[in-house]
Parts: sequence; C-alpha cells; structure tokens
Amino acid sequence: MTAPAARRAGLALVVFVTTWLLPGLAAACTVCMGGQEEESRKAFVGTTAFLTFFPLLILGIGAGWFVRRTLAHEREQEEADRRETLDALVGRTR
Amino acid sequence: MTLRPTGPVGPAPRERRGVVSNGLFGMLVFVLTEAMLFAGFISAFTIVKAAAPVWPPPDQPRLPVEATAFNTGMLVLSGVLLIVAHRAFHRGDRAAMLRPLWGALGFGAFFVLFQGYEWVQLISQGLTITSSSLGAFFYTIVGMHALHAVGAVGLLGYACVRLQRGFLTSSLFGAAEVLWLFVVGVWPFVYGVVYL
Repeated sequence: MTAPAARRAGLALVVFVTTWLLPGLAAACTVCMGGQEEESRKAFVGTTAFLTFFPLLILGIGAGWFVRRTLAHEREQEEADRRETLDALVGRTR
Repeated sequence: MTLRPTGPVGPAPRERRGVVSNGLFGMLVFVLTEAMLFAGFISAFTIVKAAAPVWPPPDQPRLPVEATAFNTGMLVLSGVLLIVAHRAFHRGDRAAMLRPLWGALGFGAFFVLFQGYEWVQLISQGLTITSSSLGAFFYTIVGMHALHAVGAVGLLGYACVRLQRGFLTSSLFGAAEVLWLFVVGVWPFVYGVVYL
C-alpha cells in the first residue's frame, strides 16, 4: 500500500470509529438542518399528520360521493323501468 | 345443445348507463394521485422552510404576493363560472352554458399567462431553480401547478369547441371540469404555503 493510500485508509478508519463511538457528532439524520430543532420538529409532526390523514380524507370524500351517486343512479333507473313498464301496459291495453 | 328462453320473450332490455362515465372516472383517479403529489411537495417545502435559519433567503427577490393574490382571484372566478356552466349543462340548457364556459376558459388562460409573466420577472431578478432552496421549490411546485393548468386550459378549450359544434359529451365535460376544479382548488393552498 502506498503512503497516500495508507493515509486515506487511516483517515477512513478514524472517521468510522469516531462516528461509531459518538453518533451524536455525526449528525447522521439526513433531513436535520440544525439550528431550528423545535420548528423542524413541529413541521415534521404536522406534515406527517397531514400526509397520513389527507389520503384518508380524500378517499372518504370520494367514496361518499360515489355512494350518493350510485344511490341516485339506482333511483333514476328504477323510475325509468317503472315508466317503461307502464308505457308497455298502456300500449297493450289499447 | 341450444339454450332456449324459459319465460315469456319481451322487448330487448334497455341499455343501462354506468354510474360514472369513463372520462370522469379516469380523471377522478388521476386527480386523486395528483393531489398526493402536491401534498408531498407542500410537506417537503414546509419542512425545509421550518428548518431554515432565515426564510426567505435574504439574497433572493421577494415573491409578488399582491399581484398573485389578484391572479388567484381570477382563477377562483374562472372556477365559479365553470360551476355556473355545470348547472346549465345538467339542466340541459346548452345555450346558457356557452358564455360561462368561454368565460372560465378566458380567466383560466389569463391566469396561466399572468403566471408566465411573473416567472419572467422573477428569473430576470435572479430567482432561478438553482439560486436557492426557495427558487428550487418555487419553480417545482408552481411549475407543476402551471403544467396542470396548461393541460386543463387545453381540455376546457376542446370542450368549448365541442359545445359550440353541438356535440359536447358529459364524459368530456366531466373530465375537463374535474381537472379544472382541481387546478382551482389546489392553488389557494400552494399560494398560502409558498407565497405567504
């Protein structure tokens, strides 16, 4: 192993051991920006809640709309069937 | 072996319409997925904004809050006109829906052009997609909305032409309507989070 390569390997080893023993120093969380911990924490909690409940809300609204539309559609169909039957009966008696 | 009907043979059954037309259903599914895309963007922006020591970045131009509020009004007006057209469509009054539908298209096109003008101004002042995290998020979120707005204006325009020629189907109108109302409905949230 050449001298620069040995130095790089040594440095990598030091970094590895340091981060292994003192993970707090590594600031390993990729989304932590530092300095605004309380604001960040609130934003994380808020957006997690938003992304959890928002799809449920829109699916609930969609399902409710679809059920109401299906019921209205069934009523329309029944009315059309009744009218058709009546027309057929009236036609037969003439 | 042939199957024979067992009961009295009557007239052929009436063709039944589906609960939701194919165009409307497809657009609803698309809009639901796009709503989640915007929810993701807005969440990411909120976190970056909260974590930044100073917001907006001090060396970046300010976003035109008042001018965009006016433009938001135009977009909302376009949505209201579309609802007027929707009511006329369901009354079967095609003549009465012509004006509000063209009006919705006009105000919608105005919104898109105004946004384009705003972008040109901001780029000339130094806010670009690589200049800061504000620029990156601004052009990604507002650009994605603009992409939807352009598509929806095109679809509304096509619906207007079909109405003018007298063969606008409920499937096409429903799809155009849902996409445009999505564009109108999502914008106040984008404006509130990104501009204010």
